[in-house]
Amino acid sequence: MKEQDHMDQEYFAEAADIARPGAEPLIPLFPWPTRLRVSGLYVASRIVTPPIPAPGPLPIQPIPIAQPLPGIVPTSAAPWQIEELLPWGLLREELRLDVDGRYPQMMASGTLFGVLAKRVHWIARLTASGPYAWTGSIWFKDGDVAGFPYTTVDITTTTTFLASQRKAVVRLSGGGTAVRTRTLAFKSPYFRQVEFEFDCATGVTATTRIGTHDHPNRPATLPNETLSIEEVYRRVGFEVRKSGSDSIVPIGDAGTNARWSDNEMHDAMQVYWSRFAGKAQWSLWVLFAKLHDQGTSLGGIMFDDIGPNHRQGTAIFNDSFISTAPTGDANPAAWVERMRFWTACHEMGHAFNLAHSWQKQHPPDWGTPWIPLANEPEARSFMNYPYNVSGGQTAFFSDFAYRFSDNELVFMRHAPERFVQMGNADWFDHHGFEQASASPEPSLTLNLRVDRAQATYQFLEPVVLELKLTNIGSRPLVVEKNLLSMTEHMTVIVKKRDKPARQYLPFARYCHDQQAHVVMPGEFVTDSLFLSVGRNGWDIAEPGYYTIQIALHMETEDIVSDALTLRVAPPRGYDEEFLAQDFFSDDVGRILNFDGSAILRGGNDTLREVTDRLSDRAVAYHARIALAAPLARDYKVLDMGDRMGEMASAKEAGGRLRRSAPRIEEARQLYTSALLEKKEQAIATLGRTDYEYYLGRFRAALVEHGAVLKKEPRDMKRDAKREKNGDIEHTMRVIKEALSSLKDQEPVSR
Amino acid sequence: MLLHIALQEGFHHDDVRVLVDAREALVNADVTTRRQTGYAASVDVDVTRSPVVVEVVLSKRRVIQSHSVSVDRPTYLGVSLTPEGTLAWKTSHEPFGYL
Repeated sequence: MKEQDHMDQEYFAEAADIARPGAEPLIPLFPWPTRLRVSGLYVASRIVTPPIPAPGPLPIQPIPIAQPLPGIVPTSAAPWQIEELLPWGLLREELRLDVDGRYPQMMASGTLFGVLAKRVHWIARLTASGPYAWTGSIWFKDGDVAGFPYTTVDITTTTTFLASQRKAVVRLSGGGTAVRTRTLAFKSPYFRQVEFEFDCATGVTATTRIGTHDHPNRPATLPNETLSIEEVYRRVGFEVRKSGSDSIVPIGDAGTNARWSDNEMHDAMQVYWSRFAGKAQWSLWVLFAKLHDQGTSLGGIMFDDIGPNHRQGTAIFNDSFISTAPTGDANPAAWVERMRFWTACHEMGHAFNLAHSWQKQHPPDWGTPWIPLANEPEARSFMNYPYNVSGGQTAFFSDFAYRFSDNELVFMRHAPERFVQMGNADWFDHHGFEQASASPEPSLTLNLRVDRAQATYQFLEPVVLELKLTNIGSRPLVVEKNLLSMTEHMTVIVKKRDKPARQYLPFARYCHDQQAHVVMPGEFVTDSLFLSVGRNGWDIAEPGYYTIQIALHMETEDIVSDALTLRVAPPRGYDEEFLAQDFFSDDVGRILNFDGSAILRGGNDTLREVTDRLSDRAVAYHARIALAAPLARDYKVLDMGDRMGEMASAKEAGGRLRRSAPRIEEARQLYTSALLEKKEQAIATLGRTDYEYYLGRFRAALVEHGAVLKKEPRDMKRDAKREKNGDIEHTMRVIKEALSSLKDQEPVSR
Repeated sequence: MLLHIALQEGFHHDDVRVLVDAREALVNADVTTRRQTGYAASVDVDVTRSPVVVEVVLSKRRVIQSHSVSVDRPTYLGVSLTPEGTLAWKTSHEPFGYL
């Protein structure tokens, strides 16, 4: 209640700040405002808290309250009743509602915590649909999302001066499943909790608060107040606490030169930080010292990218360039204090996994953000360098309101906990997924699917995804016919659990003739994506859990898929472990990706070994396809003679094209074994799209080598339907007839 | 006169050679930007004439670019590698600061 009072007071103060002469206040100040803020954290939990005993009879079992309808404010209910509404299998549920108060982002995010560490995280962009009601599309999902198909959220809050009686009714719908409605109890006006500890080296004073009007260069509308670092982060949405007592770190710990190296600071953190632990926690250590080893050019650093738990410690260097005011500055002392304060907030921002404003977009070899980012080089944010904007630091501070950018606020408030929490995701991993230009009301949705009940893959089994782009709008849409096979329009992220995310880089790009394709409302286009290996090497190989997400870049917006989590099982035995050493090679990756090679002999030998020793395993289907394809037709090989493998032009090396004759009988056996003998298993591992494609190639090869196809009466309507839907059964029947016709002939050899 | 050359954003295990008027000023086979600060490496060169031509060679990326810079007073030249794989140059007469 005390926290809420504080936030409400701040809210009114903010309203007073906004009210300017000549401008109508946005919020009526007097009489007492009727609108209370509702932003904050709402929870429901299966851990039943018994109510405080009260006179009179009590029900033996808690009675669940009726499920409220959207738009209807539910009647009050005690928290212990609300908690019972969670279904079995869910332990806890959170909602972060962000629609008013400081810097409202019109977002909601939720986390569902299940048994066995399962959790689902979602984020939606909201618009108001009533006085205390909001609606919006879910644009981000993370975690075990297979059982969370919802696309839309509607939220209704009850408002009362008693915080203990505030509630939010969350209605999730869409995705072709039943509506899910839950009531969550208000817990806090803050979204998350964090604690800070400020320690100083001997002889150094920490600047943890300033007067916002102390320096004359500032926005005319900036409120005059004493602002603390804690308050800056409270306005982000954190309930900030101080841990331990701020202490003095003896200068001896920095060595004889009194400058600090990263390792010295890391050691000091372990000794002097009262909360130090080798685990992720919402806790941060801030050291104020004189200088870093790098000298006066380093004003501060989030030094903790050492060891398994990054982002737990930062440092500010008071004797660096941040203590040198520009020549002729109107108030040099205030300038220095402001710069030290700003630097502390900036370095602490890195500990929340925020990158610099200009670093959000970068090459893949830097590591991979969750989805593509846009730079904010002119942002008036704690995460930008003041002297790098147009007009320099003077322009920056004249327009700086001691805050983070909207995108950074969304990240800190709503991103999955592990992206933001100190000691969790590595520094720069997932540092700003929030900036894809996804539409709040997308007309297309991209789904990632696998042709199996559970997304579990055998060890060595390549992963082939099915991509499905559906028109969920009400109007026909024109898209590129080959949009889903144009990987240059996609960013594909593969993230192994506890490892940094990687961007899948395909071996080849295909240039298609542009062809428009109309997708009617409710219709979709599909394609496959062979994902295990690319120019980055084998992105999916080791046993474990992987999360995959794709952003499809359209002309005006990005379509971001749901995240798909899949599991690679451990090796079945010695044979698989042994073969893996040769299998996870670049050659085998290329052969599988390009459906065969007549040149990469070592890789082909490995695949033959796979078909012999692991003939019943899923990987054998892929191996047979890759071995069959080059055998099924004339194959041209550039023969460079003795200079094979050298970087030389074909002309210089005397190269010539050599034709390799088909070995149709071997191809026929391999294709038959891969495609016809166990159809369901083949579809599950190759994917339906690729399975159909391989069937077509098999049929074409048979025809080319003399098979006679049975003539069927033409039926335009039926043929069109077959073409559109892919008629596997029909193609298989045709192939079997073709094989029969070949049996009646001499073996074909050309 | 001081010419400070700082390798800043975008480097990732790069093999870098920096030449000032064709004389080698910095050779480092493994330059990586520290993303907390946007700083990778630097060198101070005492130059006796102005302007000078600074050439940066990134052998693994097959990037060679040069830039003419006046050094009639202490000069600070920042070199960054852009996402497009080209070099961006920034000249200042104030020392660079990193945060």
